[in-house]
Amino acid sequence: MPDLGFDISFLVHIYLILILAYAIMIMSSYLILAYLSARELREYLKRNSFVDYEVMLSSEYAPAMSLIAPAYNEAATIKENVRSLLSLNYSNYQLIVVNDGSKDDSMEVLISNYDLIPAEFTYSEQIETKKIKGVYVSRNAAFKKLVVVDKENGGKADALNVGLNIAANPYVVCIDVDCILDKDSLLKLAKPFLESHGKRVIATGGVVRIANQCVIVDGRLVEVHIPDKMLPRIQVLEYLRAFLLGRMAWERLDGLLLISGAFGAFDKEIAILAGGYNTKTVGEDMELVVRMRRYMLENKQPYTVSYIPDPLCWTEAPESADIFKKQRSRWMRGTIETLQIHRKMFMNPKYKLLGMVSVPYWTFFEFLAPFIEFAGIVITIVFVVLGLLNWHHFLLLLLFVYCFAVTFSILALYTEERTYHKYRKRTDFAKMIVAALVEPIYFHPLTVLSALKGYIEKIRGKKSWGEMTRKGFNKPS
Amino acid sequence: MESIWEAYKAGIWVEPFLVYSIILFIVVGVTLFLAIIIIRSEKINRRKNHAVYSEIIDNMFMTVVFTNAAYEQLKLNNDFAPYIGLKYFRKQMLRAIINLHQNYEGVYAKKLEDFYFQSGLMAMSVSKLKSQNWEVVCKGIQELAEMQVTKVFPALVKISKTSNKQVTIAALKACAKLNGSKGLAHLSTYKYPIDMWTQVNIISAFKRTYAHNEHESVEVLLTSANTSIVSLGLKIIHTLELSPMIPVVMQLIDNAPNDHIRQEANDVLHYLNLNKSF
Repeated sequence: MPDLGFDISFLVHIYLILILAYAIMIMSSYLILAYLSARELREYLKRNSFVDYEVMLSSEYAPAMSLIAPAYNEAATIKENVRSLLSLNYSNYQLIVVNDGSKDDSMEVLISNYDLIPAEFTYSEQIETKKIKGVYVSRNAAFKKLVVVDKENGGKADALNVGLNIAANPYVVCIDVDCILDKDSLLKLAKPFLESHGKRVIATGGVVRIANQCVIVDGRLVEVHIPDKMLPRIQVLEYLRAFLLGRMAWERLDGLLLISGAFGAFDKEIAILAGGYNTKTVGEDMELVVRMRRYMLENKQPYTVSYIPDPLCWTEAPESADIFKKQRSRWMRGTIETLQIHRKMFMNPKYKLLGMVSVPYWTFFEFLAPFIEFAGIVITIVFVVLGLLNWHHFLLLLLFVYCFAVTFSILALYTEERTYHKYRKRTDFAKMIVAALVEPIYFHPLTVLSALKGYIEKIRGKKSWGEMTRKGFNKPS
Repeated sequence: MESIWEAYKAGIWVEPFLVYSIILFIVVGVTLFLAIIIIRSEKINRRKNHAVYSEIIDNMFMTVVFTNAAYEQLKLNNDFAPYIGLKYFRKQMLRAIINLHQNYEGVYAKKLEDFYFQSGLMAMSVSKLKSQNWEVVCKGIQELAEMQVTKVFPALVKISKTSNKQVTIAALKACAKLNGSKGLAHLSTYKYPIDMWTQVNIISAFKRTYAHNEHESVEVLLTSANTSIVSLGLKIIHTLELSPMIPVVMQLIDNAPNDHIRQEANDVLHYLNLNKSF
């Protein structure tokens, strides 16, 4: 050990204890959440096996819903996507497509394919938005559910706010226009709103899964495959871990902070009373849920947020590292901004479980984790340089973390196998096992790097989303 | 305790802790991996068996429906006899007869009901009602209701009073299915609040079995002390457009237990009057 003029071994000792304690805490939290999630999932599946969703199809008491689909430069796929959204199994809904100032010919494609004409549309601007250029409806009775809004570009949150202002129904479903929805997705999403008793259901979220390399026909997913490319393949695993072994637990605890922007339903009245989507953050989906919950708590209204574990929405994951990094750095910025806006809730008993558990969890294990991991790498390098590193312990520690990550991924695969069993081919299973082995050494460092990029972008004051190029879904040969 | 503290101070706990944790993770990981393989192979076997049994069961029920063959005869038939006693085969047979019954009416449905009784499948369904697992109870209720076993009606009324929501829904739907509008009269004394989802399910079941001029039980619902049951009664009147119930609805408006019910009753009255005038 070099002579630094003071006893460094004590500091090293303290550092190691803190890091190990943090690692054990994060691992324990994953295991506890996984346990709660698995239990809740089992209960849900049991309950769901007796549910007859058809009764809602013919019932006049099915909640009326408005789907809001913001579109920006989607001309290539918008025709099929809208057709798919118009053919969902639900009797009582309208579809609002908001063209957010696209630079391509999205609007022309919609007008010509759906026989749109300008309509006189009265609505109250309860949330301030960018200017609406026109509202269109179809002359064709087959598309009577469709409303298209053409507006100046203002970003996804602004487009969703326009939808909230225009929506005629008490519940809104916010979706990404390029997502593939399960035919029964609205039936499943609507059910929790009917089940509320004593507590108002203010939002419902559904599981999002990765559709890369899956076969899509006429806007419907007909064959599920695991991608060959490693990056999207590991994202399949990551989504399984997050949705099957995480969110159900938060639902059980009633501490869910995030409903994916790709697919979520909201009580319109509460969403508007809470102020609608925040246009100043790139994490508008999480921020809205937190703000709606905060609104309900501050106004002492009993409420809950529900979550459906069935795979209802399929989305395309980034296949290139560059786009992946852009997406994840944006997610990190969104997390930072949401936690910053609602910092008052942190460890505040007034906000009950949300303030005492959910927000601190996100702060310590979602926001701070990449920073702590990065600091660990830097300090390890310093130890190597100073000759302080105990290589034996270091390698054991690495193996400890690696084995935990692989085991946790296999637990997610096991849960999937016992529940939805979507990936039936033997080759798909083999691919997932390889993904589980590779994830900690390839994918995880990439997510940490992207999160660090997110920190830096946030410090520099970056506000934009960044271009997200999508490859498009596979079509059958 | 002291030795643990000493070991901690000396730092010798780190290595065993890490080594044992790694071993634990590997053991758990490998076990889960093997469990996945076992589950997958079981599913493959089950699918294979299912395909084989499906063919046999289809033939069996075609014989039952179209040739008047009784269960005793089928038991002696070499094509079916080796399978009839198998547990999984019987389970699949039960599922198949329930599905098939949904597609048949009249004399064919009656033949299936007779077979259900003779083969002991009905006894299997009845035994499910006594299970500790609510999901098994629900399954039994659904089977018995589908096969029109009216003699279990009193048992279903009793079961419907449980606090388990799934069982309640299944039992109430079954009551409506087995006994039409009379199947709901007992709801007037139901003490738990029922949510909208349950109400939608009951209305749906009621709609299918409703016979004209059977208003008494709906009228009884409006007298319940449970406001969610009153609300259900109003929704049934609205859905089935029961204009003869107008005086009863008017009476409810005068004696409504709360503003919400009064408003709902007013809406229904308005709707019925509007319909009547057309």
